[in-house]
This record gives sequence, C-alpha cells and structure tokens, in this order.
Amino acid sequence: MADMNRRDFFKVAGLAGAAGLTACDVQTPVEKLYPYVVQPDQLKPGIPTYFSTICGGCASACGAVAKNVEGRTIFLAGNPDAPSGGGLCASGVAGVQDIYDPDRVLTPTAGGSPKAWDASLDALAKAIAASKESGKKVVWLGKYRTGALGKLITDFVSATGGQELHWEPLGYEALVKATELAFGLSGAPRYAVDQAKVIVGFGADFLHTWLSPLAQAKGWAAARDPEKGGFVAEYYEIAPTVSHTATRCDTWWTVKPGAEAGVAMALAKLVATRKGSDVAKDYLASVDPAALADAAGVPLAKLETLADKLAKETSIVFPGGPATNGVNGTHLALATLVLNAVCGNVGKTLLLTQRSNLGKVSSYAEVEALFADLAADKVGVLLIDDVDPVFSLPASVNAFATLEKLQNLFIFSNQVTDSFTGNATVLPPGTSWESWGDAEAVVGQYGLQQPTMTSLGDTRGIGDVLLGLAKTLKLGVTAPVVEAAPAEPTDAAPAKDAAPAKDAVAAAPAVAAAPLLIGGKVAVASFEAEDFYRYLVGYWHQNVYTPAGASEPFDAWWVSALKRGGFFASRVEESVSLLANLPKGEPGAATTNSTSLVLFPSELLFDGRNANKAWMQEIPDPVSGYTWGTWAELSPGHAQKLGVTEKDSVVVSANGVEYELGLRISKGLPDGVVTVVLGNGHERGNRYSKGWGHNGFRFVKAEKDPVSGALSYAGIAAEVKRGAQGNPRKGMKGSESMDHRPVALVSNVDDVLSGKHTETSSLAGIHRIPEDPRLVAKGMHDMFPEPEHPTYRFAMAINLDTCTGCGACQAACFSENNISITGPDQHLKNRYMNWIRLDRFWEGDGEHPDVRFMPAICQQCAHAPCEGVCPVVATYHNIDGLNAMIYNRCVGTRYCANNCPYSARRFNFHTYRWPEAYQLMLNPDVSVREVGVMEKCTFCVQRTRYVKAEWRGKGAVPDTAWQKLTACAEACPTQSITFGNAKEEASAVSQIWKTARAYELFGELNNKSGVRYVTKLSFEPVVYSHHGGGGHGEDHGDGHAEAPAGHAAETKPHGAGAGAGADHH
Amino acid sequence: MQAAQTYADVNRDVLRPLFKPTPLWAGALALDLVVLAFGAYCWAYQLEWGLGVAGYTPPVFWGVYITTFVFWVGIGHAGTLISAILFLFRARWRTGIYRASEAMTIFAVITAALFPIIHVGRAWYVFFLFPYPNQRELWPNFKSPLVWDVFAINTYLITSTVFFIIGLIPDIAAVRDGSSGIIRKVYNLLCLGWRGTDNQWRHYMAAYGFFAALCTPLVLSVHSVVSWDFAMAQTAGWHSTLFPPYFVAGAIFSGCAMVITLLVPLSKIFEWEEYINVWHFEHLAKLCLLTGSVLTYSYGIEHFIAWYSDNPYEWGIFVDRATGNYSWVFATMVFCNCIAPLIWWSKKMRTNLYVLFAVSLLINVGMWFERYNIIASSLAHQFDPGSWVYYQPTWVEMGILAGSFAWFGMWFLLFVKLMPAVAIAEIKEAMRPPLKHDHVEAA
Repeated sequence: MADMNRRDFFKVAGLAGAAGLTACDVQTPVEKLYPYVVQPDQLKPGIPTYFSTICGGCASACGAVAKNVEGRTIFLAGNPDAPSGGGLCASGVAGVQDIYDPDRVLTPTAGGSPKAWDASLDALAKAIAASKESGKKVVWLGKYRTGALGKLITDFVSATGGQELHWEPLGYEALVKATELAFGLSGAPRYAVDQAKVIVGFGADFLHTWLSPLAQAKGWAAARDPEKGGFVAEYYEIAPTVSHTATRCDTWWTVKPGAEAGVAMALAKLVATRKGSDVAKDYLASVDPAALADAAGVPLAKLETLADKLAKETSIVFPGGPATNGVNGTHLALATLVLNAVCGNVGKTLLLTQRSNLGKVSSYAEVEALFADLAADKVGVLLIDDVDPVFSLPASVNAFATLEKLQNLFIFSNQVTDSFTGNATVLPPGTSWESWGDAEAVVGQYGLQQPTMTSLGDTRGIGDVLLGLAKTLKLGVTAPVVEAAPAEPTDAAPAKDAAPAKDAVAAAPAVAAAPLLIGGKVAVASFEAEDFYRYLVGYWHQNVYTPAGASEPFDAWWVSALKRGGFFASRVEESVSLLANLPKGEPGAATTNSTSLVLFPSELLFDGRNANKAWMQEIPDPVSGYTWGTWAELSPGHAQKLGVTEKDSVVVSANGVEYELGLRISKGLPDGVVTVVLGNGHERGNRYSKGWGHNGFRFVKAEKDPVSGALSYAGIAAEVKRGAQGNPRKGMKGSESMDHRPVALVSNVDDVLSGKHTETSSLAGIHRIPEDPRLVAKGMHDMFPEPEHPTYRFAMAINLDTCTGCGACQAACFSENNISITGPDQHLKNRYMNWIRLDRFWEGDGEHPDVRFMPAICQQCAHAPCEGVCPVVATYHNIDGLNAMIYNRCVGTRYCANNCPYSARRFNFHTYRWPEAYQLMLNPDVSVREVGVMEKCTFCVQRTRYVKAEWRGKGAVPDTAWQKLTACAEACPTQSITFGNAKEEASAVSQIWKTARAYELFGELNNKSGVRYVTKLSFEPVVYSHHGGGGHGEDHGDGHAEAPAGHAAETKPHGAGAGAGADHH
Repeated sequence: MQAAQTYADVNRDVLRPLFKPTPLWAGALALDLVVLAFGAYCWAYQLEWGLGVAGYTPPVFWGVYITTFVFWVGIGHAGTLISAILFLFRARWRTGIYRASEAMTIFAVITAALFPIIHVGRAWYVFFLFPYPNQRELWPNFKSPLVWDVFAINTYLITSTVFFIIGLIPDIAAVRDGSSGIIRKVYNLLCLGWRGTDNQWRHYMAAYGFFAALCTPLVLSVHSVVSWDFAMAQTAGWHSTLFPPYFVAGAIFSGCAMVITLLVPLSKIFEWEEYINVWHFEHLAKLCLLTGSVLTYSYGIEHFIAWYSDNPYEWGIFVDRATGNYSWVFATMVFCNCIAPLIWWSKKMRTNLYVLFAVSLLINVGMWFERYNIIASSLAHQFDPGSWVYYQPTWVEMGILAGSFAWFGMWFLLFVKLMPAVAIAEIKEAMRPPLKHDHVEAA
C-alpha cells in the first residue's frame, strides 16, 4: 500500500465507483412532476372535493356524492340530501369502474376502428336524412330516461318522425300497465315501506334489484327497527322461490309457479270481507278464496291468519318481480294493487302522487316488433342508448344476426356490449359521472347530475350529439329563436358567481320574458340551445324553478340545487282510488311443467349491465357465495332425486339451449323448480365481463304477457340432468349451517318489544366465567384488563336484522382501501381479498327460511389474538383501539391469520396487479400491498386520521362526524353499520352496544372485540341457551344467576318450548 | 454384543467405507441431487410467483411447509435423546447407533430450519425474526411463539452440533491416523490435534458429560417450544395444554423410527451387523412402543377433553377430523402411529429386520400425517362455520417436501463417506480391554 499515493487512490476509487454505478440496473423510469400553471381554485392537493350528483346506474337515479381527488373521481357514496337518503348500492359504488373500465370505449369507432366525431356524426346525419327520404324509420332503442335528456330524445325522435322505445330487460311493463288499469295513472307506484307493519311480497326483489331498491331497503330497515317506530314489520313472502329479498322474510309460503295472482285475489277478498269494505267490489265479487288457495297450493287457513293481520295493521303488498312475472304478470300486479287498496294502503304506503316516473316504458312486445321491422328492412337508422339487446333478448329474436344486416346502427355506449356488430358506429357519451344530466325518477323529485371529473376519453354527451344533429338536420323549431348576441352585456357581472363545475349561470334580472343566458349563449330546452348544458339549465328553469315558485334568483337557486344534488320537494299525496271498471281478475294457471326454469337477476350484475365491473364479479353473491360465473339452483329434494350434490354440475336445457352449470342447493326452492342466475355470459365485453359463465337470457322462450306485452322469465319448461364437469365453486361459501355455534344470533320480537332482554349482552357469549362480587369490587374481575385507550376506542355496531346482504359495504371497502381483485382462479381457493366476508347461514327450513347474514370483518379486538403471535410486531394495538398493520414490517408468517377466530385476515398470495386504467382509481391515502403481506380491515384508519386532523384544535369531535365515517357504514343502504367512539358514553355506537340485542362474536374468547352485532329478529319463539344445546343448565347455576336470560340463541322454528333444544352432541 | 476381536478390527470395520465412493453410493447421491434440484426449482418458482403457487386455501394459512418443519424437528429429537440422555443413564445399547443418530439429528434440524424461510411470504425479510441491533431500534416480538422457535431451534442446532463434534474428536483422530496427504492434514485440523493422552481423555470425558447434561433439557424443550406454536394459539384443535408432552413423545417416536429406517440399510450395506444389529433395533422398537403408547393416549385424551369441555369449537374440530374431509388423514395417522407399532409387542416381530424397517417407515408416514392433521384440519374448520374450507397441497409443496428429504439425504450420504458413522472410541470402550495374556495366548 505504501506506493499508492493520493492521486492513485482517487483514480481507483473513482473507477470503482463508476463501475459500481454502471452495474446498477436502473429499472424505475424517470418521471417528472409538473406543477399546474394555473391551479384550479377548488383543487388543493390531498384535500378531496365532493360533488353532489345522481347515479346513472339504473332507473331509480339515487342521489350520490362523488369524491374527487386531484381531478379523479375515486369514491362514490350516497347523497343524504336526496330522497334516496345516504347509502348507495354495491353497483352504484362500483360506478367508478365504469369510468376506469380498462377496455372502455374512449373514442368513437366504426366497425371497430376509430372514427372522428365529425365524421361519425356526419354519417349519422346523412343516414337519418337518407332514411327519411327512403321512407324508412329512425328508431331509438334506449334505457329508461327522464328529465331533460328524456325530453330531448323524445323531441329529437319525433322531429325525425321516428319511433322511440325505452326498454330494459328486467323492466316494469306489467306493473306500469297494472297501475294504468287500476288507477288510470301513468307510471308505477312508489312503495313507502317504513310505516308498514305487515309486508307481503309476491316475488318482487324489492331490496336488491326491483324498482328503487335503495329507498325501499331504507324504508324496510326503518320498519324493522323497534327503536325507530316501536314495532317490527312482519314480512310474508308468497312466491315459488325465496328471492334474495325474501331471505329476509319471516314466513314463506310456496306457491305453484303461475298461480300467484289467485293468492293475491283471494287475500284481497278475505281482507275485504273482514273490513266490510266495498273497495273493488265488482273485481272481488266472483273471487272464491278457497278455490284459489287450493289451486295455488297455499292452505286457506294460513291466508286467513294473514288476512286478519292485513285487516288490522298498516301494510304494504309488493307484486311479482320480473323473475316471477309469468305470462300473468299484469294480473298479478293488478291483484296486488287491489289488495293494497283494500287494505287501505293507498296514499299511506303505496304512493301514487309521488309515484315512480316510468310512464314512457315500452314493452317487450314493441321491441320484438322492432326486430321484426328490422328483419323486414323497414328501419333506416337504429340508435341504441345504453342497452344491450343482443345480450338480453331471447334467442328466438335472433338479435345479433338482425342487427348485423343493418347498415346504420349507432350505439351510445361507454362499454363494449354484445350488440357491437361489425357495422355499428359506437359513440361514447361519457359516463354519468363525467357529464351533465338529470332525472325525475319519482314524480316531482328532480335529481341533478353534474360532471364530477373531466371525461377520460374523447366523449360527447348524447344531448350534445342530438343538439348538433338537430342543427345539421335543421329539425323542427320548437321554441322561438332568441338571438343570443343582444343579451350579451347582461352576462358579464354575474359570471364571477361561479357554479361548482362549469360556467356561471345568470338569469336576466327583472325582465320577465328575457331569455336565460350562460356565457352569452341562450339556455333553453329546445334545439336552439348551444349545448346540452344550456339545454339542461333551460329545462330546469322552465320545468323545475318556475313551477316551484322559488323566491331566490335562479342562479342562486341553481347553485344550491347543484350542491344539494337536485331539487326535492315533498308533495302531498292526493287521494286516488281504484277505477270503477277494473278488468276481470285472472288468477293464472299453475304450471304443468315437470321442471320449471326461473331466471333471476344477479344482485350485483343485475341484468348484466354491471358485469364489466370487476368488483361486481368479485363480491360473492350473498346467498350462494359464488363469484365470477353462472350457476343453477335446485331444492335439496330435487338434487337428491338427481343424485347430485354441490360438488356436481347440472346440465340445464330449455328451448334448445343447454348449459352445464355449477350447482347450488337451496332450501328456498320447491322441488321441480330450477333457477339460473342472469348477468354473466357476455360474448363481447371488457376483460371482466367476457368469458365468464353463460347467458341465461338465452333460455327465455319469448312468451309474452298478453296484457302488458312483458316478457316472461318464469315458468319456462326445462330439463335438468347431472353434469360431468363438477362444480368448481363448491368450496366457496363455507358452511351454510351454523353447526349450533353462537355466530349469528336471533332474538324474539316480542321479547325485545316487551323489554324482556334488559341486560347488556344477555343473549351473547357462552360459558362466561361467573363474576365474584368481591373481586369486582377490587377491580380484579378480569385478569386481562382492556389496554389503555385514553381518548378513542373506535368501535362498530352491525345490525344483523337489517343487513340485507346487498354487498354495498364490500364494494365501498374495495373502493376505499385499494383492495386487490384476485380473479376467478384465486377465488376457487378462497383467496378473495375482500376485507368484509359475508357469511350466510340458512338456519330454518321450509316456511321459515331464517337466513342470517353475517358481515365478518376484523373485530379490532382489545385483546387481539393476532397481535401477540406476530413475531415481528407487524400488527399491534394502537392507542385508538385499532389493530394496526405495518405492511412494510410484515414478513408473512400468517400466524396472525391462523389465530384469528373471525378469519378476518387476507394474505397477498401473489402480486395482484391492477390494469393500468384502474390505477387512476386508487385511493392515494391508502398504500397498496405487495406479495407476501397480510392485510385486513383497519376501520378506515385513513378516514379517522383525517377527521382527527380536521378537528385538531377545534375541540372534541362530535359523534356525528364518526357515525358513518367508515366506507362500509357510509355505503350501507339500510344504515346497519354504526361507527364511533366507544369511550364516549353518549355516542351512537355506545348506545347500541348497551342494548340487550348487542353481542360480541365469540365473546367467550375474551378478545374484547371492537365490533358488536345486533341480533336478527324472529317472530318465532326463540330458545336462548348455551350454544344451541340445552339440558345442562343445573351445573351452571352461578352463571345463570349472573346472566338470567341465558346465552346463545337459537330459533326453534316450530315452537319448541324452552329447554327442549336438542343437544348438539 | 458380539465384540470385534481387537481394536484394530474395529478401526478396520468402521473406517472401511470411508472415502471410497461405491457405485451404489454415487448412484444414490446422484438421484438425491436430482430430487434436491427439483425441490430447489420449486422453491425458486414459489419465490418468483408468490406463495399462491402452494395450495393455501384461507383460512388455512399453514400447510405442508409447517407440517414438514415440525416433522423434521421431531426427527431431530431421537439423536440427542440417544446420545445425551441414554449416555447419562449409561444405557449400553446406545453405543453402536448414537453417532449415526446424532448426525441424523443435526441434518434433520438443518432441514427443518429451511422451512420457516420457505414458508414465509417474504423470505427476503426473514432476518426480521432475529433480534439484531439496528438503527430503527426494531426488535422482534418476544411474546410470539415463533420468536421462541427461532431461539429454541438455533440453541438446539448449536448445542447438538458442538456435542456431535466433541464426540467425533477421537474418531476423527482415528481417521487421520489411517490416512495420508491432504486428508490427514484436514482431519488433523478437525480433531484439534488429538493425541489420545490420558490428560486429553480426562478432559474429553468431562466435556462430553457436561454437554450431555446440557443437551438433555434441550431434548424436552425444543419440541415443547415447537408445540407452543400451536398450543399458544387460540385456534380450536391447537389450544391445548397437552401439547408439549404429546409433541415430545411424538418426536421421540418418530425420531427412533427414523433411526431404524436409516440404520437397518446402513448396517446391511456397510456390513456393520457386528456393531449395529437387532439388539439395538429392539431397544429402539421398545422405545417406540413406549412413546407410541403415550401418543395413542394423547390422541384419546385430546378427544375426551374436547368432548368433556363441552366447547363446541373444540369438539367440532375433533369430530370433523375423524369424520370430515380430512378423515383419510386421521385414519392414516391412527393406523400408522397407534395400530401398526402394536405388532412390536411380539418379540419375534420386533427382532425381524424386515418388520422393523417396514413399521418404522409407516411410523414416519404416520407422524408426518399427524402434523398435517393438526395443522390443516384445525385451520380448515375454524370457529366461524362460514369460513370452513378444504386445503390440498399442490405439486410445488410436494416438490419442496421431496426436496427436503433429498437435502437431508445429501448430508447423510456425505456424512457416511466422510466421518465414521459408528463411534469407534466408544465401541472400543465397551470391549474387553486387551490384556497381556491375550497376546501371550495369541502368540
């Protein structure tokens, strides 16, 4: 070393350093961050902006609030100010996946290749003009639309002399027709469930997919909550099958498929007799309850007991849903409306003034006729607005082949659908979260839809397209043209008064007839409007603002409507009575098929429109527990006859279509009925919708209800035989029986109402150690006292009675917490990442299904079994009572997950990657997890931190800031989840925790969990006993003295006396 | 014992197989390395794609790897039991077999030590489990049984390796004495220049006795600690105070069976019937009978307590194990561990080499399935019925399992060629000392 001088040292060191650096593989590409040149006013990095809007997912147009972070809408929640209230359904929450759909249509295309807007619209204008010349029709086939866009479409189509059809596959033709026949009104009733003490369903899936599920679920939850109304609604389901909604029923009477209307008529007659009412006298004159009950297979005595209740109490009767609407659907709907009228529900629970705005619903018969016209080459141009006829029409219509022949097919769609033929020109309108719009889903309730972010693609709204076309085609003038230019000066001053997301709105003050101007352009609901935004404002000025007679100037009114998410004025129910000349009731004929196929909509995928959303595929169906595919259901008896179990598949064939489907055995079906779920089986679509399962719509026979023209999805003659492939999903849902364990507990309604359970947690826990008063006095009653939580002990209460299993909490959790999508193969090994696992237990039999949903999440135990066993302290107990996770510290021993009695932990078995588009959807407040790391529910720690930071220095955080803070609680449509601080005596969660119905899951393990469940309610006698057993009360004398009401609860469906519970051993 | 004629005979017999690769040995090693390579490939595949390539079906988060880990730790028990405890009890029959079984112990523990690394989700961070000083002042969680495991296994590995090496010193010297060149130099180094002086022998015997005493509690502690991985958890089917003695008995049971499995062919191939023979195997079989009875009793008591406790979760597990998805595992376990060894109650059977070998193999299989039964079936049938699943291993897990046997086999094959697998010094000690008149007679 002696001969190395300083210069040599630097040479060598420099060379070695350079060599070392060269050897480094720079894998991360250089990214540059550019600041905004002009930062938008409302944008503060890290602080989200919220926009009130409406969800465009279905016709019920629920209010929504979109959370926008740095220009991207990343979370959707319900709008508490809207009539739908807080909460949003699962598919609504998953609306962000429409925006970031990785295979979304972002530019107009023709025949699959991009075509510029101008060229596409030029082609459309020419096609319309040519079609008019050649005497062919221009036809609009679209989804249900109301409000400004609905009017614009109607005006446009009528100006072109075309035909307008608004049809959805699982639509409401029968109910709309029946409403017209019964009351002479256009639309459908609105069902206000909250006041009903008796609920009767004839198959409508009113909590999940039927009419306005969010509002109905909310009403139902209120009717089930003894704390709210002092009563608990009893729910009778009279239908061939137990729908997802009917899993919540108290009593289920099986009806022979097709004969439901007769039961409704018989009930109406029985109630009318009891009440001495002469409502619908003629209609009921010839009704013979005994004969009808007999024909439907329901014992008359049962109907009579129900009629007794209906005659006394406020009630609500639901019709059949699309799934149970057979060819007699209208008569069933009519009979239920008559029954409601006889019960005196009109104006109370059956609202007709504030009815559902479904007046423009077209029937399936009209759509069928359209396809006949198309086949006969009578149609020049077909415009399709966000429906997928190829996917949802029966095979006999031959929709794809017919559309393929049509040269001028224009489809407004953001997602790839089965209807994309080679000739189709696809015009992406932008999702409802990126564009202006409105809806009047309920008469008089106006929801306003505003863009919550800039469109991701080169999109143009339907309204803008139609207005442009109207100008090109010089379509009829519907309002006097007002030149915009003269009014220009009045615009300058109020323009600063900015509306949240777009140009300022200015009403010309004082001058009555002066046109409304925005940015110097006239805002009017006619073809003269410059763009759809101005059309919308004009429409609202004319149809909402002016009739409302608001005192404030329009611009202020408009801004507040935008902030609120619409204009919602409650109306007084006008008295409506049944028409005198009701058609003769048609009881319907019970099916004679040896095996009948009933199709039912997937709760999450609905009619297939949500299949493109990965979360909707990923969240298990609440009842079957299955994901990513199509399955068939059979009754246990039927399965036994075929010699199949859930390990097998069955081959279902009907109308020449044959599918091999995995089997689920459901106690909610009679023998001889096979049900198949709809929603999957897309032939064209995005990466999530294409290729999973089979399209159940292909089974449909194209049989119509002669009165309404609705398509029958029930009572299809089918054959079922054993399949060879087996059911890959067999292990996906765990056990459907609680195995006599105290998991999802029940309380008897009378016990609860009479205050029989007064002790906290008297129902819960087994084998509690008897407490010695001397030790308690010394504060020594627990060897393991709760760790110190100085200010907060974050806690949750989940109501098992009002939980409908809808999956909204799961979707919200996916969205908020950047939860990975693992895909179908991983699901077969139970490797879902869903932090909320929904257990379902089908405890009852026959008449009393007693299905219990159990959203199992991390219980944030104060004595968490997971914490002690982690060798590296990657999970620990924090000062707020949370089991915190340090993802970077996790080695992945998975010991914590083994030791969790609630199986609440999820492991990253692989690097689950998001498609690039979904990365824009990620919540920047939550880190994404890598392979080999454990994760779980954190009670949305990022949100609790945010609230704490917000309130720092401002005093104590009010309980209202906590109650619906977590994503699941915020989304829950029935508000079954309450969050809060258990250290605060007065907090809502503490109050619920104190009620007798609240219990800790597996409380006997003394984990001191931070979640308590509120028992499900049952009208059946309940035996409260040790873990479902009985007969060993004597030797636990002391324990009983401490907790007199006993412990775990179990239903004895047929009135078994106390203590008669069979020992489980 | 049929003693060899002279000390020189012992040296000749024991040292004969060293350093001369026979075709059988070379073939066995080649085959072994192929299997090992496949196991290594499986692990590499798992590191690349994530643990998902194994069959884990949540909430079954532990499976074949932990099963195999416990299996090898269990195997590692018999060696120290034989070398240390039986040494203290002066059981003469240990002399011939203790060297090989001690080697087995060390190789088994080395094999077992791989599995926690293979098992974890992020193997590259496994050093987090060690309490190394670091800038962030992060320490492992000393409450976690997995950290106890780290200490227990490492203590056991270090102590038994030292004990093993001490026992080897005089024998390495014997190898040195019969060799030349580089081998002589290496072995001279390994035996620390052993010359066999009285003084050296005195110190040697004291050291050996000291380490035997030190190892004795470890025999009991290691598997007790391993059993706490389960017993300390809340999981039904694991949460039992019975586990430590039950696991220790099971470990000795499987370890002794493994000794029989290894030494029956070894003594045959190396023609060591004089040193390792039925007399030894019979003793091992008797030990198996004892520990097997303890195990059978434990199985019974486990079920009894589960029933008697009236705990629905415990009882649910035990009913499910016997009748549910995993009943085939349960049946295999009961047959191999409880029923098959009963044949050894017959003296004729426990002195028949074929029967000994066959039953010892069955016990090995049974003991692997016992751990599989405890781990998989308990996790698949947890508290909440909504989370019940069925877990099945994949080819990756089975490949790594096979690889672990190959890894163990590789060490053992190398050992028998590089070190005297029978303790020369102790055999000589047990022989009648050569007296002057012997030479006279011989002369």
